Amino acid sequence: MPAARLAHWAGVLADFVFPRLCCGCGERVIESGRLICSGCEKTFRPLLLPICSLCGAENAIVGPKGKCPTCPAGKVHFETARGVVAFEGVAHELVVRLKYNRRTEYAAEMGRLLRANYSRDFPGFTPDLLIPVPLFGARQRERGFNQSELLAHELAVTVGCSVNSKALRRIRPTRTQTKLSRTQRAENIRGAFAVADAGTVQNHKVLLVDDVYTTGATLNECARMLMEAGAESVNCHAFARTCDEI
Amino acid sequence: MGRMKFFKRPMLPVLLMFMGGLVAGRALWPFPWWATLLVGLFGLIIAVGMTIRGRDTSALLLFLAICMGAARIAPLMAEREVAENLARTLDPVRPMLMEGRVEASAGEGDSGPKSITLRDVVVTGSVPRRIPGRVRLSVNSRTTSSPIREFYAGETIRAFGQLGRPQSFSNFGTPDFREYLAMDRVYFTARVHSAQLIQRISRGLQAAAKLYAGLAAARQFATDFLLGHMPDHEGRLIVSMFFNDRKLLSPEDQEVFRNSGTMHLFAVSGLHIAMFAGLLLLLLRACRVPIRSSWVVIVVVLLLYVTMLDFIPPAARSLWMALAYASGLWLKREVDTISAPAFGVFVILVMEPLALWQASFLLSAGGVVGIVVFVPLFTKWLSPLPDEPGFFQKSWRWVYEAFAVSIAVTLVLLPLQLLLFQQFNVLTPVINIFAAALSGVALGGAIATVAFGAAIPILAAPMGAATGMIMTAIFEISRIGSDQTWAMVYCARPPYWAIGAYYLILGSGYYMVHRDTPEFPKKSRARLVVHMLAAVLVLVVSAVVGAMNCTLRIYFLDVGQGDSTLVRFPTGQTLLVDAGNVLPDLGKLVVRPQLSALGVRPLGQLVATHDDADHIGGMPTLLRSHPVASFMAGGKKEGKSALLSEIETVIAGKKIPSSTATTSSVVQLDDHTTIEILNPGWSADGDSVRDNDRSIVLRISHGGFTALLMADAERSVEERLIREGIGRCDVLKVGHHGSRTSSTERFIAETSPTVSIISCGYRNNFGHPHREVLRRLEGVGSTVYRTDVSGAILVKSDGKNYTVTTAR
Repeated sequence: MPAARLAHWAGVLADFVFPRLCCGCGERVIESGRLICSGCEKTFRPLLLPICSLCGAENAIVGPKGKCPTCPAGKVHFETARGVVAFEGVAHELVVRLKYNRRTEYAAEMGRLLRANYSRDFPGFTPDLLIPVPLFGARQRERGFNQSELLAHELAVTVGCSVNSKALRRIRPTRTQTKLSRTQRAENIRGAFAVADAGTVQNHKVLLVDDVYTTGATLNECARMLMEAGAESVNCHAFARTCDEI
Repeated sequence: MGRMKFFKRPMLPVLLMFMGGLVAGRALWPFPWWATLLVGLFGLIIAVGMTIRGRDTSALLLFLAICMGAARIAPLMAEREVAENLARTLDPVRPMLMEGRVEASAGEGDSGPKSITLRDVVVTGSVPRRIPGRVRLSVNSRTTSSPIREFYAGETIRAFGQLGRPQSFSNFGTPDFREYLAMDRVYFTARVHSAQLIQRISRGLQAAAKLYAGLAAARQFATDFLLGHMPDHEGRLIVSMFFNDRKLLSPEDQEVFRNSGTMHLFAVSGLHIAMFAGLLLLLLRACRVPIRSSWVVIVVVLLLYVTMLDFIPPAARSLWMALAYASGLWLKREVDTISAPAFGVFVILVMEPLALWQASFLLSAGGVVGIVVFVPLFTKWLSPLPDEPGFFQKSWRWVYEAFAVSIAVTLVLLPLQLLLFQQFNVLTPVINIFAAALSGVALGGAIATVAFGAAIPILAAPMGAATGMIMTAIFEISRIGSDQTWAMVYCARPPYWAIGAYYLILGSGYYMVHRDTPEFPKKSRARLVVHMLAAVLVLVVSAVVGAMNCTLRIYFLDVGQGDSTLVRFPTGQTLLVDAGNVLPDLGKLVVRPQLSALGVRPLGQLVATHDDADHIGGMPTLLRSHPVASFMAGGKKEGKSALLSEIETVIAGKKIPSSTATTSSVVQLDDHTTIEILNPGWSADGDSVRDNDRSIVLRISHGGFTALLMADAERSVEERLIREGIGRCDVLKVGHHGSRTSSTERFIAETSPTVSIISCGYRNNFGHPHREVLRRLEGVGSTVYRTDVSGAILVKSDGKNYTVTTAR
């Protein structure tokens, strides 16, 4: 029996004991290896056009200087930022389960979407380095993993470059951003990151990876540090995109 | 497998059906189990076919699970049958040469000498015979417990000793030792006279032998280190907690922990394993080890720990549970709170199906069910935490969740607790929050003490002292709990209908509340509380109904070769006449559990008919561990036996009023009920009277019903009773276990009992009951009940009619 067949039957047995239940509807997933059923997969909402060419916001009205009203205030340090789906419904559930229920296997589902949309979001672009947005040490120890890092690894093969999760460090713990306003967020995150070794990023085209892009404060701050360290360019790729301050 | 459309999580229904199959298989045995197997195999083929074609296989799989259960239990039932048959042909007295493989090096009973468990035992001789199941081998020592040299699992040993069945005492609702061992697949016990009669033949696997020896050395080192660097009492407690060694607990300690409901901390089971896993996970997380790799380390460490504990079943089961959880993580699947425990229990039951009938398994599984079912419900009642909770909110949440776990476990285990132990401390949930949490810290502290202390000696003393302080806190909390006598609830063993009703009410409450969950209205809280109270009320009502029984009940207990008779009067008084032998200690094995099971607490009157060991042997233990209101003994001869002096010491220590029966007398309990002392057991003419004739003879009358308890009284007493006009009786407890020295033809004719009871041991050394006596009883048309044949015998009378029930 070929190995693939064996693996398939092992999967069938595993399903029996630990069934794969859909993240959206909670029913059993029939498609082998998947964690979202085909029905719920259709409920992912793509971002509404037109999209801001800079920050990737949906329904964007691009003003003077090529910025939309939801772009980060002040200087924008990244070239472009793109999110794949709207941060609502199943996408929201996926992120919550991954981050707070420690369901690392959901990274694969999110990675699948990131990969599928990569050529749409960054046509013809090949970065030199993938850098996940880091967590503060204590936070990562508490959680056991960094969700952005998992996503970066999912993306690495398709994009064809390596992941460096040590290049960027979070040097101080920050309050959670969820309750803060747009300006407070930018203030809160300022100076939270540092480049560990400028040599690793110098003259590199960097793709920053994060799970959710909200106001862009975090990604912009990361990009600022990277650019200061001498990166050639910084682009941002996030799984979900929202403009609402959650 | 396949598309199970019926069930989201197929493991749970499959587990339930499998359990059903086990129960049905045991109840219906003997059945053609090969047919079950064939049907099962056929079904499996169909199921695979249906899976390939994408059909729904739910119903078929449930059916398969039942077949699997029945087919799994069948070989065990067959094995037991073989053992029963073999037992009839084996001579239990003649020493034999036997060989077997060691399974556990030093499994220990609650009392008595250490023992080793063997499997694949062959009795060598002219015709070698295989002994089915396991054999528990111990050194036959009459005085002290002498440990057997260390033997490790996998070694083959040879021993020269007696091979027999475990002693069986069938009583009403108390565990039978033979049945208890049979649930562990131990059908035979072997006894050797000294440890020198056990020899090692081969060492088995070299690597395994080294591993076991290394682990044993590590255990010894840790034990010595902890005892050496901690205060004595705390050191013993922590070692006992760590290595499941209850012998290190003094009887007073055991009393404290039992009464406060924290004894489970000293039995390694799920709680210990969970705490170890948690500690390790914290440590590995701090070192940034990924989750799945952490669990590889955890499982390996737990495996070593459980091996160190000789794979005692509760610890091994917890290990399987941990493995089930980890396998879910390794498979990158959702490890939800239903599938993982169900899978764990399924694995356990496939490996040892008889666990389903073991108290330790039921308690552990019940605890898990309680946590899985009720804790999420309780925590839902709590308002959600703010995003950045303060210290107060966090700690309040922590305390609440700990309390929820404690309450949930208590709620589910309450009927089991009453069924098994007949006592319950109302404060248990509160005590356990602190004691269980602290025990995790204490265990961590013990590990740290040994690890750091051995590496840096200067740290040993302060760390040992700190761990000792935590242990002191656990002990003190337990002591405060056990000191609250008002909180202790004692009751008779609840009847099965009450237990069934309890779970039904609780389950229905959960079901109704559970359906509400999305919105979770406020009334669900009230609804669940009402159901909980109703369930507890059922237990209370059943206890009250039991206590309101207005009949005379005489229990002739099965204490092997010996005597013990419990009388419960319609007026509520209780009387225990004798308490069985001292080796083995029947007071501990039978009499005390039986009194607890029947809810006789305190015991009204204890009567020692005369000072033979088979009558008063169980009394010291009974008096020490069970409240007794008053004590009466027959006349004493000059040289008191050691047992009687021991009893007197205990009585003096406990300030139990004691009296001596010196004259024949009548005690009138109410208009219809009397106790008469016919032979006070004391006579003025001193030593001329034979010992057995000093027995207190009692007659109990209730309305028209009379029962005569003859103890060991012989011919001369019988003749005197006839002279005094004894008259006939309904029930006669035949004198001196049916020996020919008692029960003269004339006495039997005079009393002409309708029912006679003989209390004697199975195949006893004296040949009791003697054939002549049985013939005499037959002569007057008396129905004979024997405790060696029927187990305990219960005679119930309402003053007019009476009924006889037997335990076996």
